[in-house]
Amino acid sequence: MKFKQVFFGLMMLSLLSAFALPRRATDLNGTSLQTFLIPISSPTYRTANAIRSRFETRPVEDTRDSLAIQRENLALKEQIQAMSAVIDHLQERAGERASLGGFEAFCDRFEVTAADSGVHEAITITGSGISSLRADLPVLSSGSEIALIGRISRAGEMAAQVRLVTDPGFTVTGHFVSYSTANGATENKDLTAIVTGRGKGEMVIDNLPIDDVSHAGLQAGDWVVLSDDTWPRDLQGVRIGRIDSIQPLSKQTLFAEIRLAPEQNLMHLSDVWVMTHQR
Amino acid sequence: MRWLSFFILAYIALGLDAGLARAIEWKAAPPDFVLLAAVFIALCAPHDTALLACFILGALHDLTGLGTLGLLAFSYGIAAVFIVSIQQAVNRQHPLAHFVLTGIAGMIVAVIVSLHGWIRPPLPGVHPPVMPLFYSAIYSAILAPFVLAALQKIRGVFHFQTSRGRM
Repeated sequence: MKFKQVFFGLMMLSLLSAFALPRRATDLNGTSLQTFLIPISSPTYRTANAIRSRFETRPVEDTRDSLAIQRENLALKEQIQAMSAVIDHLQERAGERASLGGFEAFCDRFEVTAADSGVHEAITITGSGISSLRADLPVLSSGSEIALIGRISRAGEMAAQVRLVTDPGFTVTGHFVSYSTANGATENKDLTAIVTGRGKGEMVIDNLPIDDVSHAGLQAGDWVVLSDDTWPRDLQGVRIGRIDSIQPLSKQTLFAEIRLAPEQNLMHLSDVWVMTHQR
Repeated sequence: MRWLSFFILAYIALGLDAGLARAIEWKAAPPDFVLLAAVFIALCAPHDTALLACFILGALHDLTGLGTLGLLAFSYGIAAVFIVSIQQAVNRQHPLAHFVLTGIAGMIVAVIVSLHGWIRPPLPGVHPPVMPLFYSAIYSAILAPFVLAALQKIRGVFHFQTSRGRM
């Protein structure tokens, strides 16, 4: 058989696979081949991100003037103090101090070794205990700002792939947490937001009528937190992202297009928490 | 062509793509190191070998990401067909040729991947962003003169033979 025919056959097969065969048969949620790249991807990822973090200035996420932010901080501090006292009291009374630990109690930390360079938003993680991970486990960011960042899409013996909340088509539901000087942080559970990843580090909510959004007083800077029964109970209320902008949806102007951004660039994380067990 | 050298190049390109590309992205567009390797092979290897090697590079790129099996294999294959068809008409050492060919190959890949995103979106009405793909093509083209110049210096390890040489 001539080479031209073989090559033509391969091209037709790949075309069919990409455009005609059912997605469930051809969509790769990561493969174990990614594992073999760790000797190169891991040192380059760490070195490049370390250099990048030295030069990168964090984008200003809050456009309010500093006086308003100072007032908010003061009010939040007072609120935290009051709540801490209540929590301490409850903990002592119930004798459950140990069981009220942070997420660390249910999570294992893993190192990020690579990030998907295609249209998808995904990262590869590795570390001791990686072989115990399984698909669909929740993944959280580490550091002072713990937020939901995605799910394990594929787990292997030496590495696992995490599909990020910003990946196009990733869907999760949540509700809003707004801030006002008068009331402090208030949860708005009346509006159930369907958050969908859109790529480029963005998420969008487009299922809410613009009147409801206006009536709820949502504005840039408010948070969206997890409120989704398909995720573990302990994660309910964990932060997903911050509202970047609210505009009428271009195709249906009666609905709002709420753009969200995660607290940090999820493609440049150095390590993450995976929720390996639950309360 | 010496296939062992090709697979080492593929391994390094895929590793850099996974580890380095996102760290040096611009406007959410990372450079495509695998495409740069494909352009180098398509420029230097004999016709049939170049087509097959670029197809393999695309397939390996598919297998190391979250994407759809066959999408990048097909895209790189089409890009290789284009480069191989004009291989004899360009100066393979010239930086401008590297820039233009990588840019065009990147655009071909971007158009096919964008079409795929529109025809088969991950969710109805949710289309992956298109512009980063085109920015990525431009970014790769800017890097091409430097990367391909370095690869040209070690082209001896690939033992490329022209079609005439093999006859």
